[in-house]
Amino acid sequence: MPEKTLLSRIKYQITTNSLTIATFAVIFIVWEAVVQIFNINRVVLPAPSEIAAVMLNLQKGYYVPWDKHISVTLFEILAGFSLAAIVGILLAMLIVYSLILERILLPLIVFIEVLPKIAVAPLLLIWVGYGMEPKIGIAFLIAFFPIVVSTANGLREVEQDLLDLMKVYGATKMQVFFKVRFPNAVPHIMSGLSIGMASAVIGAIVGEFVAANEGLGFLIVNAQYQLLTAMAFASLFYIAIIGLVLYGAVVAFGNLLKRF
Amino acid sequence: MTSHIGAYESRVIPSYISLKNVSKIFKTKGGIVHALRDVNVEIEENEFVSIVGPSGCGKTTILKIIAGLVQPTTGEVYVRGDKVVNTIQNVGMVFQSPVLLRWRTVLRNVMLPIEIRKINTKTYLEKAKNLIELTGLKGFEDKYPHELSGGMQQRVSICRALITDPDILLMDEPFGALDALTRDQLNRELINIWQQQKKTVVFVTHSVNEAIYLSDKIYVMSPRPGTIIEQVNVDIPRPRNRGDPKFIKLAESILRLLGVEADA
Repeated sequence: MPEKTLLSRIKYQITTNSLTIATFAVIFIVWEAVVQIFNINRVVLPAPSEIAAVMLNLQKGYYVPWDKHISVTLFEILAGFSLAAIVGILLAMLIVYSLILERILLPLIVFIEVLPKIAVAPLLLIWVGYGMEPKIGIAFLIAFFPIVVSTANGLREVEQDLLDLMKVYGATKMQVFFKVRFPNAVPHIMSGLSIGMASAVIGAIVGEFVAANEGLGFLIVNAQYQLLTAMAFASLFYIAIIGLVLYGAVVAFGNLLKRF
Repeated sequence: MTSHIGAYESRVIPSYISLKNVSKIFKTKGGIVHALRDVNVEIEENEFVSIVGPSGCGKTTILKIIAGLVQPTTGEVYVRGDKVVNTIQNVGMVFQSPVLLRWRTVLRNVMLPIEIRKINTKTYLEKAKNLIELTGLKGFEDKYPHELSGGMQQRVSICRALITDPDILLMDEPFGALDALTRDQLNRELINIWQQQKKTVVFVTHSVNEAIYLSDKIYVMSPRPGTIIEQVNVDIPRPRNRGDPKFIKLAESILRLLGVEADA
């Protein structure tokens, strides 16, 4: 395989990125044109230019403290995700190492997974109040399942020959875990974490839909009441940006790990 | 360590590795599988012994029983005079797939058994480099398994098996997945290594040619339930030539034992 030169790599990046950018540009231009030409009611469909103005607080009439709402939602996502990552990986280890714990825990985990989280949200509100806690809770509940399943699969998926080899060398259970099982599971764990991250974004927003007085989900509900469609779109775009950045961060972290 | 002196230990143990009337029955969901039946094997120290037989005849199970990874249902196994009750010590294993750790470089894969035993890494680092050179992998120490060909990966796994300087080497169709050219080359290299550092080798294969090229003694097995149908001593001086009439004649007689379907 020929070594990629720096120049060809940069070229490749530019062409792939420019394709993505061009796609979005075309969508926004067509959207803007349709709204302008057909003079569409801005409550039904605001133009991208208006949405951008709201996102950057350049419109007249009202001001949205985006930094406050973004940081609230971001915190809920990250807290829920971190909790899910820690609990998910630990649960996976317990399931893989103990048949009894697997029999106890797996049905519970699947039971929680099949519950519609939006239906659980009111309960969480009763239990932990109306602050960030129930949103973190829902983000956690949605995110931890893919992490448990992927991690458990990764820890299990070790060739029998390799385990036999470790046994012959007299490896302890700890050595088998740290030298074989865990590194072997890393790609699985990373894919579980990336799905978990995307799920945590959904969880936080669902939580804010049910009851909140801050956050991007709250802004969308609020915009709906006031028929501020542009604000709803602006919130949606911020959520999308947050989701993309966080998902990209997990994937980038996984690629970094691959090198070691 | 058990003592071999005294009334209880007065039995005669003639061989380095010895299987006496070993049978193995596996219980699976589909029912009972009779894998081995009355297998008797005697292997002397520093002998190169092959086990040939059709697929699924229990060749691999014999290796695992010798290693102590699988316990026989009936019969007894002795290695170096001791009855095998657990995994045996000081043994190298090579499988059909190289089973390397993909996140470790060649050198760190070779050093794995040393790391596990927590013995002095520094002295063995030199040994690892020598082995890597001996198997023609010099310059690839810092490469990852996916950057190597199948033959090179198998060489790494042979280095890993040799790093602890075991006196017993158990090899389970180690060259079965390689192309014919690489296979012949690795056969030659294996014989070189075996002649340089005397070891007792138990080599499982379904290639009769390979078995004759390598071995002092060949055990021929029947299909399941696997049992030894013949013990063949190979009295051809090394290095052996696959075109030698004696070689061909021996191959024909073993193939006849295995039946027409057996591959050469």
